[in-house]
Amino acid sequence: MMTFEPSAERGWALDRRMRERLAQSLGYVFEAAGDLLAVAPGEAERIAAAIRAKPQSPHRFGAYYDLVLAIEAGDTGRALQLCDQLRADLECGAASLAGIDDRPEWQAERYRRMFLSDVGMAEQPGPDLLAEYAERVAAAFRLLDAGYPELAGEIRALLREIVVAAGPEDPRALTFDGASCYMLWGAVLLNARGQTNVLDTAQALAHESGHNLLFGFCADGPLVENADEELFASPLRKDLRPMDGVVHATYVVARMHQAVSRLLESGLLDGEQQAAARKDLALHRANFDAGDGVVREGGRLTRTGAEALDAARRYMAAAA
Amino acid sequence: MKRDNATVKLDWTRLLGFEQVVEHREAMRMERIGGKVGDKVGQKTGVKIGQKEGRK
Repeated sequence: MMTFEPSAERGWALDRRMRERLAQSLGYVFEAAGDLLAVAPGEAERIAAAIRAKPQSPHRFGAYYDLVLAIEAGDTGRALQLCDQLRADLECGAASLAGIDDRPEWQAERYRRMFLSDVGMAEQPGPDLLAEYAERVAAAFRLLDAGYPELAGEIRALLREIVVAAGPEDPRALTFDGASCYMLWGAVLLNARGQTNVLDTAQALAHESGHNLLFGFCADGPLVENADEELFASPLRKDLRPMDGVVHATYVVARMHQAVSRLLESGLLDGEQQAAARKDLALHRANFDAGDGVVREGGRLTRTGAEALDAARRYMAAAA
Repeated sequence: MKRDNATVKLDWTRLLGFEQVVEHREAMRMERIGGKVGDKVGQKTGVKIGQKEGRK
């Protein structure tokens, strides 16, 4: 499971495990608060069985987390609304792509709230931008299918929804390439203005699906023992981050290195792409070394965290 | 959640991944790919989950 080599089988196994954990925990929540939530035992069993039966919309997970938070906040009305969301038979795609607002309002609101630090930093992409980006994502999948099919298969197994937003055009503004959230298993947010070519978009898919992969590893516990208040330099961000974020960044940098390396070896890249790929490999190695140095100095990894990062370290050492 | 002066207390050990949902750790993982885009920050302060002492 912790090997650094991607596979569709691993992606589906993690998805099944996350759904099993969700079904178990949701059953507990309904049992603990069932009389207040008006969820009958038979209904709770039906919802749990549906979750176990097949891949789920990220909003099944999002609604679960929102429900727990509503219970914690004592917001009965909100909790009842969320139970309705959990009862609904939500459509679930296979790495389907749509704009952030191309969905019911309550789903768009959750994506903005859970993905973004500032809900105003991402807008619905216009039709032309969205169509152009959808074609680039499709081309990135075609490239991965041909050059690194194991990664393409794992990405499809991990991702239910690719959510597309448009970051700010002002070069001085804060922006983003992509985002993932533990509470939205199976969803990633990508910035349609964040990449300008197919190779970069393939890397963005490897990157964000890598965060979901780590989320899947963490079904039974976190990657690190460091307190959230302990902040460290991260190789991918200007702001200081908790060690969990540094481990995530370091791991996904290695995954991007792996993706670029295999695509370069595939012989499918043209001359311009090969030059960009070699430049990216050097950058990813430097970022990995920087992140790994921070982890080695200040990280207190759990067994899960150590196994995951050691796999990335072995890959980077072998690729040197 | 309150009803008839009763509060539902959830056992955090039976929730999914809540060690990773609290405060800073929970949500946004916006990161730049190789410095190809403009500066970004975006430190999310996290969802507020009330008193969680002794429940992790």
